[in-house]
Formats: sequence, structure tokens, C-alpha cells
Amino acid sequence: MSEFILETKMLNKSYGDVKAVRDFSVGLESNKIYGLLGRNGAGKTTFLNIIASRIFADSGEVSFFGQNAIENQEVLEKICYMPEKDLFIDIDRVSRILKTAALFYDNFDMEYALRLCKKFELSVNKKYKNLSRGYESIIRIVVGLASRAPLTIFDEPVLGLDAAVRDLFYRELIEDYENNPRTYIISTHLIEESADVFEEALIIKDGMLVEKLTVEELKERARYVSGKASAVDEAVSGMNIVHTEMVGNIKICTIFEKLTDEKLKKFEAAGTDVSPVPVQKLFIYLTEQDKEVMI
Amino acid sequence: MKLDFDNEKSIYLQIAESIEDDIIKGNIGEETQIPSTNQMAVIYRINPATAGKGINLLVDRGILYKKRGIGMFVTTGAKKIIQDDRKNSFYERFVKTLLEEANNLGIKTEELIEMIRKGGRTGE
Repeated sequence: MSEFILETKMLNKSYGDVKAVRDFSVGLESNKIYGLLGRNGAGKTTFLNIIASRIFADSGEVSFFGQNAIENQEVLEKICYMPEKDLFIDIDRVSRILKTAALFYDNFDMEYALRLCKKFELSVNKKYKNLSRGYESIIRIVVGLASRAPLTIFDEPVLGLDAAVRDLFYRELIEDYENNPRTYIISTHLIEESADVFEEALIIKDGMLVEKLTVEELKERARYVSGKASAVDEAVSGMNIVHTEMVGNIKICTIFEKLTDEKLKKFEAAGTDVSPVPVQKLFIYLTEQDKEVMI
Repeated sequence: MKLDFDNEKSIYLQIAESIEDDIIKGNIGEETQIPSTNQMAVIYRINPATAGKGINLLVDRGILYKKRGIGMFVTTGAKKIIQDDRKNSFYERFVKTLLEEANNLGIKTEELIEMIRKGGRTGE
């Protein structure tokens, strides 16, 4: 028996010359909410499609509680994957979609699904093809939450939703997670508002997993170090610099690494200012291509 | 209870601080129950593990204790513990920054003392 609910080993997937997923190895623990964070085209959806058996990897392994997960029906019933698009049948009504989901997922809670429809103001009589972009997201949220699947995966669940509905989603997610603990993987690029919902963040860049950290660690590791260029250079020498900006004579370096008291003293001794980095900014720095920006 | 967090500081520390604030100000009395980890997670839209971490921090410092099957309660003497801890860090947290800014502005020591007097202490 594996300690991980889901484990991937050296997953690779290419489309022509483009390597969408590269050497992706990760182990996810039970009953945690993971955020999958990456820029457009970073490989998030390809990775999710592979673990949910919607597409095949060129090489590598996926296991679910130690069992091979690829095309294994017994495993697939325990995974609820709500992709960003191409999921439901156009002419089906919402009520029909819910009934189908109830047949597929063992733990599906119809009563809860209908309660969610009311809360999100989704009419069960509407045909899928007549739903607006926002309601397409909402039906995915309803099915995903109500599936109560041991591994529930949302790809960009809040796309097209206004702030109030996004907030309702986070609330329902946390409340249901407490009553029915399970593992979630949620991909998003709205990081600032969702970061605190995640227990751990998986950061993906160019198809590779570049960081797997608790959100707290992510915040604690990042600091802006700013001041006179020479002082900043001295203070951050030998450290992991993820971003550099010059504003006139002032240099601002963003460092990302475990901060010891010793390092903090070094910053102080050099006469630099140290301040925290907002999560969304940090995410941009960790996933961007060019490290030098001049203003 | 605080209703919003600043985005740059660890949330669990802010959870702990906000409960401390309520205890010092008397909003939550000693031997009374505080909201559960789950309630806090839902209110703040944060991961329950984070809320739990904040609460555990206060348990470790003897400020909160668990009544089995009921929930978390404020210990007798919690207010004193918090006050003592905060007095110890008062210089680092407040006086140091105050002096730094006063230096930047060229405010003289006598002026600074006069400002503090004018501010009207309520603790005396």
C-alpha cells in the first residue's frame, strides 16, 4: 500500500516538438487540498488529463493508492475530474447530468447537488448548451463537490465567475471538505484569492514541477530585498534570486529560499530593506522566463 | 474578531494574533469557548490545517486548552501570559520602528517624549 493517494513517476507527454509534460514525479497525500499553479500553456491541463486517464502519457507511471491508475475502472470511479471544457452532452439538461454523475460516482450525494444548484442559482431544467460560461463552470463545481470522490480534480473551476460566486465556491469547498475530507487538486491562475484555501501548492513551469511546498512555506521563503544596487548585490550574493528590477538607483531583488536568522542579519548589515512578497507576484516571478526587468 | 487578513504575513500567525487581541481586549473572556477550527476556516476561506496551526500555537503557549468533545477554551491566566509576552517584544515591535522613523525625520528625543506625553496614556 502506498502512502500517497496519487503518485506519478517520470510522466512525459509531447505534442509534436512541444514537450507538454516533462519528467513529472509527484506524490499527493490523502485529504489535502492541492493547488496546481502554472501559466497558460505550462502543462497543467495535460498533467490533469493524464492522471484522469483522458489521454495517455508517452512514458511514466500513475498509481492510485499503489494501484496502476491508467484505464483501471475501479480506480477511475474514485477520481472525479472536472475539466475546463468538453465534458457534458449539449442536449442534456442539468438534471440529467446530475443523474448520470450519480450513476458513475459511488459517493455522489444528489440531495447535496440539488442544494448547491439552489445556492448557485442553477436551474436543473436548463439544457447544457444553453448555459452561459459562468453556469458551465457552476455545473462542474456542483458535480465535483457532490461527487464526494476520494480524489476530486477541478481544472480552472472559477473561470467566468464573478467575485461573489467565486467566494461562494471557496466557502462551499471548505465546508464540504471539513465534513467529507478528501483530496482535491485545483488548478487556477487566480492565486491571490485562492492561495489560502490550498494546503500545498504545486507550481508547474514548462511541463515540469518546479516547486511543491505548503502555501505558508511559499510565503515565508520569498522576500524583496531592496536598496542601493551595491548593497543589495552584497546582501543577496549566493542566494536564489528569482527576479530583479531596477527603479532608478534602487535595485529590488526577489529572493526565494529558506530564510535563516543569519541571512536576515546579512540583509540588515548591508543596509537593505526587506519586505514580504505578495503571492500573486511571487507566482509570476517563479514562472516567468526573463529574470531581468528594467524600468 | 478580525475580518480580513493582510496578504503578506502568515495566516496562521494572524489567526493566533487576532485571538490574542480579543483576549487582551476582553472580547473573549477566560474560560470561554472560542470558534472551532472549522468555523474559522469557513469564515476566512482558509484551509482548515492553517486555522488549526494558529490555534495550536496558542495551545502550546498555554493560552488555549481543549475540552474533549466540546472545543477550545481560553485558559485562566491567558491574558497575563499574552501581556507578559507582548511586553517582552514591545521594544522590538514598536519602540525600535518608532525610533527609526523619528531619526529619519530628525525628531529630537525631548520632542519625542513630549509627543508621547501629549498622546495621553490610558494605562496609568
